[in-house]
Amino acid sequence: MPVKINYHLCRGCKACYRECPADVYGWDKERDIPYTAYPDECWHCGICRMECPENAIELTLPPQGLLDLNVRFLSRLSGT
Amino acid sequence: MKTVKTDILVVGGGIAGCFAAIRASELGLSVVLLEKATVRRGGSVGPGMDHVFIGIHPETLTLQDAIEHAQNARKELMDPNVILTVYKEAYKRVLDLERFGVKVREDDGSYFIWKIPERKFYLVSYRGVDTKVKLAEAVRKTNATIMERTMGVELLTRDGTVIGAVAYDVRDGNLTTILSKATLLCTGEAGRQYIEPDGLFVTYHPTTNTGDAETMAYRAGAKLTNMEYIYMDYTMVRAGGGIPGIKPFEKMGHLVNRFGERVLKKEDSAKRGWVMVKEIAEGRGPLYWDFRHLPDDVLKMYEREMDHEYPIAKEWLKQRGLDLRKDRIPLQLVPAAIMGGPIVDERFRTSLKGLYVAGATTPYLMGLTEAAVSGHIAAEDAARYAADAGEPVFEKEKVDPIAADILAPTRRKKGMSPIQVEAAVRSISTDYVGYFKTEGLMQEGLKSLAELREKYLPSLVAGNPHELMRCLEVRNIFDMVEMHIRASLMRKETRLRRVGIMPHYRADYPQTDPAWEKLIVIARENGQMKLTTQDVPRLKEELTCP
Repeated sequence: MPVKINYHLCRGCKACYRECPADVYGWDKERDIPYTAYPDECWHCGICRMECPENAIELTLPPQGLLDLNVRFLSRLSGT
Repeated sequence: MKTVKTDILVVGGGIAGCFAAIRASELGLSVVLLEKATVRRGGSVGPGMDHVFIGIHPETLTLQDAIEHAQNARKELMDPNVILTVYKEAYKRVLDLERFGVKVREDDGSYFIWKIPERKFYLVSYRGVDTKVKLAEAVRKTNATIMERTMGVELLTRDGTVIGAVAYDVRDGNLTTILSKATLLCTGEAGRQYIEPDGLFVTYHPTTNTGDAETMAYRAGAKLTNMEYIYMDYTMVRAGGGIPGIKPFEKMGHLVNRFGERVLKKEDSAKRGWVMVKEIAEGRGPLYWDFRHLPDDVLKMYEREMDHEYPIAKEWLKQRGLDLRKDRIPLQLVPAAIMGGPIVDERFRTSLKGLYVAGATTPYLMGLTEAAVSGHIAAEDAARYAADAGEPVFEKEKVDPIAADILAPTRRKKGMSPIQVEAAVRSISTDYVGYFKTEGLMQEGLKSLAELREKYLPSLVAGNPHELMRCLEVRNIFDMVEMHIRASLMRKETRLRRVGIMPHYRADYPQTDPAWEKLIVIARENGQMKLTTQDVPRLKEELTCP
């Protein structure tokens, strides 16, 4: 999971919910705490971490992927 | 539905939108500023920035240099009048940034400038992780009405004049009609058009940017250009991490292929993007930046830049077990954004009365200072226009069908989720367009796109306001990709921009054809996408004065 809230540290200030540009966080009104509503839509920008005053957000970053984008077709032809 | 009246409506609260809102407000106009995320952290500079373009300045470029750059920009299909205007106004906006509290200067009051004399290119490296925070504070000091988590969805027009927009609150699901005397669109670089290597939403620019401005302008009848161009960058970790490619050659890392061979020579640095693609195409990828030989003071600057342009970049390297000082850093090719947008003149007026665009929404500009200059000028021109525009009139019979169309996915019980459809659209651009474009593949892509649109767009389902936002974005991605493919099909030549990182490469037409030094113009006529051509504007004599 890209973003994970450490509820031992979270004080429910709403900074992550307020600032996440991708709207990944939801707000649990009953318990007055944030939750990750759309983790798969995380941009991995780190804004929630920058805004969190309690350092309560852990971010796990993906391994590097590579795309083809029709770029390697020449090498396939030439067998490089 | 609520209705709000304003002199100026600004859609997009990034750099361009903030500068526009501040300027229009200073001129005494009422302003409504819409931002899909927040003004504090929204836009490409939200997580921070480390470099600004400074334009004409005693330490960098003369007016004569700028005129030369502007003239040369015509070959890259850019309006030289827009380019020269940006060069002339850039430094004033950098001073504005300083006025807003952004730390552009070093502690001794000087600018740290990376100078690349062989390309006559200069950039100020600065400590700007809080650029957007400071800018948001400056906007909040004005009387502008800020509507955050609010997306501009469709423009409202009357007799070909733009009179406002329908806005959508992505958290509470409410629609608002905003009536404006003048409207400025600035929603940034249109990403989320291709599949990204690290995940659908791990885009180069903010994942919020889906071409909302370009497509709503298109649907309202504006003329767009340069839609065939894509920005493809080579990154260590998506966006962020400073600007290793924009350094004096001696202070740049070594670019090496998988055999450890250096692939970039000094004389090739003006076509770096193309050199990198060629290396991969010929089978010697992946590529790496190797910074290990650089002197400590240069490495410290790289590290400082990483702390300011998206500081999370350092964490990416750390989690992947990479260290600038110890390891070669592997690169990935990221299809960052489709570059085109509504045609503008040097006052940032579009082909529609009452409609302006600024920043990366324009077909020519990208970058912080470029956005600041265009936002500022667009606001000044819009203020003049608004003075004579008269009150826009609300027409319920026009707004009701737009609202019904927007809300349709909330009324369906079963169908397709927006993310499922988005992945399919973006795989079409990735597989059928890509870097090396060919006629046959793109025709096939166009056919697939039309089938996908017909079959699945009417079946989108939104279970809540957030999902409806994604549905509205998919609609925009369809329009962006269609414009991208059609324009790419029409331009039967190859023409690279900006050191080759903004390509239009036709594998079946690999030469640059001087006869194609013209713009491809897209406009909607009777519901159809029509393409024509138009000459690139010539530099106006009066702009060449100081």
